[in-house]
Amino acid sequence: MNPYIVLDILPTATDAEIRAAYLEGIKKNSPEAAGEKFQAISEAYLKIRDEESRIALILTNRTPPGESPLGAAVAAMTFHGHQPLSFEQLQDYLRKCTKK
Amino acid sequence: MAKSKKGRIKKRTASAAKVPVESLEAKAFAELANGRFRRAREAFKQLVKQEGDRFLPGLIQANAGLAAEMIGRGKLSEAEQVFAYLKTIAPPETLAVLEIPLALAGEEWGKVTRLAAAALDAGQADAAAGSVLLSDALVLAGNVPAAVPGEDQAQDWRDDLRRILESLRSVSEGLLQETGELLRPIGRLSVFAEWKIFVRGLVAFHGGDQERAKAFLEILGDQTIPGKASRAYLDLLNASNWKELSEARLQGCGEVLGLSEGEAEALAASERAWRAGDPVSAYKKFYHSGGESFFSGEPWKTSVSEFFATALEVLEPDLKTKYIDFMYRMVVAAKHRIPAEARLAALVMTVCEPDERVWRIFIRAYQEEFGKYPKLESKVWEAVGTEYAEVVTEGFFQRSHRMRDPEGALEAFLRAVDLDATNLEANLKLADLYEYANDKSARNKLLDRMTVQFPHDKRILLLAGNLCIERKSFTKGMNLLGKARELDPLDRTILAALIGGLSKAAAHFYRTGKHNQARDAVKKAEVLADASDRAETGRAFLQVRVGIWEELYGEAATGREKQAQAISGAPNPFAMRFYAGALAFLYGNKKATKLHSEEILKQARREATVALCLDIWRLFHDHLLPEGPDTFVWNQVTGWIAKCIRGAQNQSFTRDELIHFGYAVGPYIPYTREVLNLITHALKKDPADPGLRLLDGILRDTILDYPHVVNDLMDEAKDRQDWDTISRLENLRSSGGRGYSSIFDDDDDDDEEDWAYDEEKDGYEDDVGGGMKGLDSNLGDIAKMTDQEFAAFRRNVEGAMEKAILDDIRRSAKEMPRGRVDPSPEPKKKNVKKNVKKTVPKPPEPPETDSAEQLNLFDL
Repeated sequence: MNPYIVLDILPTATDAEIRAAYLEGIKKNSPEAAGEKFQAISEAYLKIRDEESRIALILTNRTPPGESPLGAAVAAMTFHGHQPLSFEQLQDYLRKCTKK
Repeated sequence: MAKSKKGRIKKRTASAAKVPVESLEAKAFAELANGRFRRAREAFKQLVKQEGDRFLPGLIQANAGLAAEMIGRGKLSEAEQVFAYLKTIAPPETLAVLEIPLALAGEEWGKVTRLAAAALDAGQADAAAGSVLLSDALVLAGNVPAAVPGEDQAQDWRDDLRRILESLRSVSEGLLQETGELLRPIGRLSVFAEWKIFVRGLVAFHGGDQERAKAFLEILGDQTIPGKASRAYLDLLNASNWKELSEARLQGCGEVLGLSEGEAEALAASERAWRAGDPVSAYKKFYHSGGESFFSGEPWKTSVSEFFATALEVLEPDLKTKYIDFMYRMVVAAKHRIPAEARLAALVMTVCEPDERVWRIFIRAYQEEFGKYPKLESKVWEAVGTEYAEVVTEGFFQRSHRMRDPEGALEAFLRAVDLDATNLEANLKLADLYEYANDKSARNKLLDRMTVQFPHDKRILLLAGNLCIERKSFTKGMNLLGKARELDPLDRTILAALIGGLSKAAAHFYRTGKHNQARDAVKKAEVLADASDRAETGRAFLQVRVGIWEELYGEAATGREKQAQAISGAPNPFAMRFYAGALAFLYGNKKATKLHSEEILKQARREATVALCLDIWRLFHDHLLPEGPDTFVWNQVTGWIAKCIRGAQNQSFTRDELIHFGYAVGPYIPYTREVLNLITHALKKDPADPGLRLLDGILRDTILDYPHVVNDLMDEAKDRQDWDTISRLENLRSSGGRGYSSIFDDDDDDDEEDWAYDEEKDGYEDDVGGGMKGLDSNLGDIAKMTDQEFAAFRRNVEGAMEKAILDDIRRSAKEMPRGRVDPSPEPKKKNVKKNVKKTVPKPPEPPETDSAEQLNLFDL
């Protein structure tokens, strides 16, 4: 899973921003309450905590974020929970359903 | 005109009259039931003409169906024509319901609201407006119509509609708890009851409660809008079913994730191709529709790009080949369309073909996409250098090591350091390369620079510290090692280096008559030493060393006492005594200590058994003498051990002891002959023993060429149920004749630094590294070398012990059985060294001593 997505930051984030996002992440997801998420956040932080790690990630990452293209997309879009559609998007989607 | 019309009517009436009403009625309803509305309409028209109002509802239904069909096909003007006709035949109170589908299709939401509200107020709650319920139409329209004064029932459904619309808005804003509250008043019998279930499903879905979400969404009917809308959410929750989903259903998944229509379409097509086992199409369907914008941007696109860059990991072997071929064409034949594509393809290729060409393409693509990034380029060149510097193992017992391309490695590492001087790994690898090339001058200069540049890296401090000790710069060396220990007090390698450094310093001071300084160093070493049985750090070993130094250069009586104490207190006094003898030889005047050593040898030969010989062998091979034995001492010790093994023939030993000993020690050339003698001795008692015959054949290298011998031994081992021999023979067969290494014992000792010959662990290469390279070179070649050539070859072999072994090989070369050592081409070290000298980075400033206290501690 892409560590930037896990920590919910941009790839241009600085060391300090990455650390802040990590601390915020583990504060929200304690090991007792959300063990898997806590682990994912910790692993993500280790992967990008400094420039050397970030470069290594670019060059040597061998872990696919999912089992298929859709799986990868879903993993990215749902790590922080399934984000709801906006009301307008939801309305559009429902209206499209008349044709299904 | 009128005449013509009349004529037509007359004709049709006449035609209808020919068909009996019963059969026409049956036909009309059958067409209606089968969804053939145009035919049904024609049949009903004739029936209406014959029977009047009885068939009017059928005619209305057929027209309504036809209108819906037209709407479904997007033929709105034709649908309007049908509806215009409907207006002439349908009762006014049903018109509203019939007109709703047309309004929906035309997205006339105000009209939809007005019509559906009118129908509901007229008590037609159960009426379906085409394929859409009235309640669905109202929710889709998204407006609450004005209330009808005085009609409570009409007010009720308006309230429920308002709640549904508000709850949809609320769930969209992520206000999940509030959404639940909004839904609570909607009753089970409300016309919006299905919508209530749908929204509760959404609340559970977005709240992460998958089971609850499924429970709500699965109970909705297929024909209602909430039911149809639920399908995509359910599909998302059932990832295991994705393989069976149609592209349209997969697209629905994308839509509820918030993707645009085009994005959802591309992702669905890609997914479908991927699931069909076509990764190349999956790639094309995604990127060829989205182009550059699909390579990065939103997180999901980044994730999909990451997926395609790492997809090799999840592909079946045959699909992997197909995918690699495709990526190869993009990278090498430059079939890519944009830099991002080249970057992605190059990353895929680095997994299977991590060569310089691919990395160059990666760098170029990365630069075009994001601009120059020297640190990243430096890491790339480090990776290239690492590939070139890979040491390939070959030869007899797989012990010969050869670097793939030392010159390429040097060029790559220098480029890496040039691009980013702070690239620690590249600097370390460059230092290793100098070490390999035996270019001490370049290595020293580099390490000096690195200690300034990386003052807080223990690996560099350790390397540089050891180097200083080697150069007899004890104070500086101990300072560097002390700093390394401060950084990681638990690192045993640093501890060993510190004790080793202090020991070397003490030995040096004893030899030069500076007894006080020597004893000071010993005291410091004693503080650091531990109770382990490791020669590098163990207190008993240190005590033996100090005893020898004192005996030779200081107070002899004290020295002997210390030795006696250490030997008697050791877990293996026999081996410890041997150690003391070797040290006496190492530090003393060789002639003066000869008697002392001979005494040890005599005693050792009298006491030696196979098991004790194994102990000695382990001691000297697992734990090198801390000062690094010089060739003379090592030859002497090797000779002693060989004599002990010879002496062990006179002691009793078991077959299993011999097998264990033989596999551990036998492959080591200085002892092979003695081990073979032991085996011959044992075979006299049981000449048919397959285990001993196998060991004998392996040590004489007469097994691999004769598969039938292996088969015979296997049969005999099976007859005797000799499982150990069976296992070794199976390993030998499975190695496919590549060598014997597969059948040697794994050492039981977990010691990471153990590099016994019978071990195939990575630790061997790590610890011995370049030190052993060249030792397994072709024995014949060594025998044929002139003295000058041999001396040049020997210079390139690291470590005194290894040099000693090489001397043994040289001596034994002409006497040994054929095929003892496999050929191993030597790397072009001279060129490397030459180039290294030209390209060494600038000499550094002297390292700062940042801790005065530290300096005092180790100031020797």
